[in-house]
Amino acid sequence: MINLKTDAEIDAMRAAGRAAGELLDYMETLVKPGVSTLELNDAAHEWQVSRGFTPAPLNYKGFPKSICTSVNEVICHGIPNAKQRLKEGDIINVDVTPIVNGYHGDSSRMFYAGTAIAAEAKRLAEVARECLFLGIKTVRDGSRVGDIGAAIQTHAEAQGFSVVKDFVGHGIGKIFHEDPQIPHYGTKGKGSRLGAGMVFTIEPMINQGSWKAKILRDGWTAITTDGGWSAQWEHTLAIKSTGEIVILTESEREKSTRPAV
Amino acid sequence: MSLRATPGYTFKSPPPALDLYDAGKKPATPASFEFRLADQFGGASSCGKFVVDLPTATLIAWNTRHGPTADPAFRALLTQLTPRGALIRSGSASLGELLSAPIPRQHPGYNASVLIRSFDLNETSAALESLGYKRKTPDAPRLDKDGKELVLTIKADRGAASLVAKVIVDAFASVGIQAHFEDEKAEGAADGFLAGVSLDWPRSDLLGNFHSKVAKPDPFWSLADPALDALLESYAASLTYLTPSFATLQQIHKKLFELEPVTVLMQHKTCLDPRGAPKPVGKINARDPDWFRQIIL
Repeated sequence: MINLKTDAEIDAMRAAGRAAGELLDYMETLVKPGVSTLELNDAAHEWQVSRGFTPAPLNYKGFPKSICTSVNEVICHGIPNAKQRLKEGDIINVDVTPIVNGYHGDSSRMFYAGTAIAAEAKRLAEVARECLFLGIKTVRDGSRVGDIGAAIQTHAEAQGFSVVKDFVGHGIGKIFHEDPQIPHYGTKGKGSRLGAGMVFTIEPMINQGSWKAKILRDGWTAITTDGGWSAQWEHTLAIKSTGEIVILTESEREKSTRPAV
Repeated sequence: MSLRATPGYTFKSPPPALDLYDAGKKPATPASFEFRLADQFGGASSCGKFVVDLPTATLIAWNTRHGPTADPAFRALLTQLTPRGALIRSGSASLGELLSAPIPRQHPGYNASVLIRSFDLNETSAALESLGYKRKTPDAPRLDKDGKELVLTIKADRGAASLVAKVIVDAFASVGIQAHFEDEKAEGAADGFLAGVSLDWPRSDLLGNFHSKVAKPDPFWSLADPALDALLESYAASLTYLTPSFATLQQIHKKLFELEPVTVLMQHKTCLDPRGAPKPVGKINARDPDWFRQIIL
């Protein structure tokens, strides 16, 4: 069941969205060669707790850390750990979800460790971000879930990449994951109709090679089956009763670099 | 944090959506469908495209504090005396569901392991004898424990002349119990109250109905059972959790079955009946048991 939100509730979610955006701004300053993913986790945890926010991933269905850190071939849900130190040229997705005033703000971005990033890896990350905004661009009161997926899939595949099908965007509010599910592939004009009051994430996971994923024995870490690298960007957005589309988790700094799609 | 896609949950096969139509006299009103409850159903022999369950019920709340109905064993026999299946079939065109407690059957807290008390005049008659409610001859009125004729006064919120009232009077009379229906506004105490009620959906919180500290929760009479009180409080508290303790509600169900404060005649069903093909005013998800809330919220 889709929990529709009032404009007041959407406005109340802005604080959680803003927190997610600012936390990712902060994470960007920490990502560099030599830092461990556990150190990123601990910094993100402290940043949230010191502000009275709750890191939603921590203990969520047993997830052991406060953020997800997905490096190179990891598609999503990478678990931060002390042994994993970033190397020059790595790409990493940091996925955060602070809970503020009871509402979740879910967002993730790609960061580069160092400056010597392979052109193909950089292009993968950029295309993933373009896919996100192409998906967002289709959203309006009355559009379809399939419109989002079609826009993302068309762009990703035109660039020679593939779209992960095992993981989807989701409705969000006081509950972390709720209906509707938002696949990042699909057919324009198909699927559930989007409407005012809906708040959900779009979070395309784009792979260099095959779209297929497998889960490691920790039960969380999803990696590509062919070892190709993967990139993901994510925002939480809302459709207000006026038809206005609000990207709740975009910080001012991120907005200034939004891709022209 | 992404969500693991649910197999089968794809945009290609969305759950079936039902169009909601206003089938009343004023199709332009926002009201989206017609409730065709038991006594509104009239002579219609078939219903529209869809039959759906309602979170409403018709029941008799028994006076748990005074008179013969203060005895749970006696109340259980009254339920067994009530031909509920026949009422559903003939009285409401099978648009009803039997329940063993006032909890919607679709609710996850409904305890399906609790069986429905079956209608059985012979068994009930023998059980009444063993409880001390005797008859001098097989045709004589049944007497209470003081030797007076056993008469039950039942008030009804929709008048005393309903089909349901007549069926109950006849059924009770067949074992010598005189049932007397009165309008709810009539003076004097009652042994029971026949009423249509909204079941608390989706919470199904019965704290306000049966907790001992609730004086007279209309139309119910509360129960004085410490174990039930504890369960009711525990479940009510769990409603503040992300997932309420449905296991506790199932225990409450079992306890209510033992104490039988009410005889639930039926949980209602209804038809969605698109007549005159007005423009659909909305949709509901047929797979979602919470569809009723989708409409009213």
